[in-house]
Amino acid sequence: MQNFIIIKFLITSILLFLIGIGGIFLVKKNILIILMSIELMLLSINLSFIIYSILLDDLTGQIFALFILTVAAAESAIGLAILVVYYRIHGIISINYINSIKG
Amino acid sequence: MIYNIQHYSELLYLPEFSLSISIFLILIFFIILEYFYNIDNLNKWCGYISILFLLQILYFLDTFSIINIQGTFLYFQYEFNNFLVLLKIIVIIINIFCIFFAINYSFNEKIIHWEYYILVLFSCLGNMLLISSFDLISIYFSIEIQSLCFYILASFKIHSNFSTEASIKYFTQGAVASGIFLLGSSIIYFATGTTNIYSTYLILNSLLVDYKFSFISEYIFTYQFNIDFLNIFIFGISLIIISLFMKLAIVPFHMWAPDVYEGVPTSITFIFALLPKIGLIINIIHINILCIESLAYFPNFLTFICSICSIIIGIFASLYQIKIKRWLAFAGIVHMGYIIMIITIPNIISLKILLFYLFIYIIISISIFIIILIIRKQTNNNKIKFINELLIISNNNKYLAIYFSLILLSIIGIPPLIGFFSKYFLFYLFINEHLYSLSILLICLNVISGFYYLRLIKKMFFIKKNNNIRGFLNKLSHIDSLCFSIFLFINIFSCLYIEEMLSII
Repeated sequence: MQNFIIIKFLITSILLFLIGIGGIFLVKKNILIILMSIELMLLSINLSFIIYSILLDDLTGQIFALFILTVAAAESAIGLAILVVYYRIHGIISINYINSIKG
Repeated sequence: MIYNIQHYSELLYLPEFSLSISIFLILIFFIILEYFYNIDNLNKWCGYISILFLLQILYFLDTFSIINIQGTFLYFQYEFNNFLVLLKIIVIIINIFCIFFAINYSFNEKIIHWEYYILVLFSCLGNMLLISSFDLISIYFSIEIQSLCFYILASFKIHSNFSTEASIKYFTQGAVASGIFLLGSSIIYFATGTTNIYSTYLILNSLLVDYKFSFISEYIFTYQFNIDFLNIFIFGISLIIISLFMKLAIVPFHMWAPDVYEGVPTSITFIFALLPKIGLIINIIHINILCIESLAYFPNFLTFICSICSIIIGIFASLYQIKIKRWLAFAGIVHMGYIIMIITIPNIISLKILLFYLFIYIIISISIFIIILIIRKQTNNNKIKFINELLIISNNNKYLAIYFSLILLSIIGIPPLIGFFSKYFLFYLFINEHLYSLSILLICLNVISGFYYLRLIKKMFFIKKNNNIRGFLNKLSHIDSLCFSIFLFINIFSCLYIEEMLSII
């Protein structure tokens, strides 16, 4: 019974990860959506780490999850800062206009 | 003699610790200077002081390299031995060069913020930690320390259209790569119950004992069970290797590299081209050895395919480039392909040859990058963007043109120059392993890339140009010409010391 619940959690986390990947590669609207999907990816991995740590009765996974939380916060802060700098120059955050560097 | 110092393991992270302390000292000192005193050229002074602190770390590491110490520190998160100390010394020397050339460059490009050097030092700290990290947690952390600094450095020229755009691209790519890394490490954690690489190795080998003796009928049940876990493990480790390839710009995941290299300021392209590669390659070696020891050959196969693709596509794409930094990006992709290909052959000789190749790659790319960092146009003091502009230096400065053509010959691999020896040992390794068809293919590809470089030399010297472009470039200062001559000297005369270099490695 408990295994059944854990498999449900695992499917949830994998689906969340796939939604995050899809948000980056399929939804080509603006940069904020990319930041949100990156955050979603990292959080889904956090969920799966916690599930594995309960499954294996081991503390390492929970510690890893806490570390990922802090790093994800720093990463999204830097992403937002870059977004602000980009917006100041281009005046738009749509992905379709990120094409001034070409080969 | 090897000293095993588990009890004094605080000693082993002394270089990293002192580097982080000195970074915070510089930070506090310059914040005080900026707010309470009005000093010009704060940027320049910060650069010189950070070089001074790096020299001090170099001294620490040098004292470590005399004694042969092995051990782990911080609860088996990091490992320490002489080989890794050598790599850290190389990283710090590259960092010193980066900062030294960035001082003049940022003065010319009007990058006035002194925080630039703090970020470079933090990325150096991340790289040193990445080299010695031996656990998936610590690898993730070190990669993040390094790449968070790189995201900011990429957008450092905040008034530039290209710099910010390159920064967005780099950020997206890096975040996706670290997400995939985390997915892989969670799967490995599920399969083995640990994140430490050495413990993973032990656990897999104890599982595989049954696999290795599976001809005994009693073990058939456990054999089936273990195979499932091995497959899950292979899936996780392939994801980790793919994410490291995304950071290294190996071919199926290379599309970000030319754009980012072109967009960011050149002094930062210099850092991107050299620094992150070293730590990532060492970690790929660790992971690859782990896979081969535990009879998982799929990641090795993946590495091999990616390396072949990156050599072929890198060479053919660099034929069409007209901008210098894009061309350098593709050249870097080709070199990384060669290095990854050496990793797939696991023995002691290949490790030596890999480090030698990496060392020569670093020397050659520094000697090319200092040309585009130093040279500027005389009319408007702008930097040079296109390869055709670089070819006019033969009208302006004959010696510089000779330098450039010698470096190009060194990249092709003409014997007395240093680039020959990296190629020589590469093919020596492949022929030793009886990979004849592969070496023939690689030699043919080398001929194609040789055509490209020889064409540049021909354009520089043997085609008549109109004479009114004299005085196109700025005059060089004494220190710059000293740098050029030092690197030319290294390129020509280090062929006399090949045996010594190999014995150090």
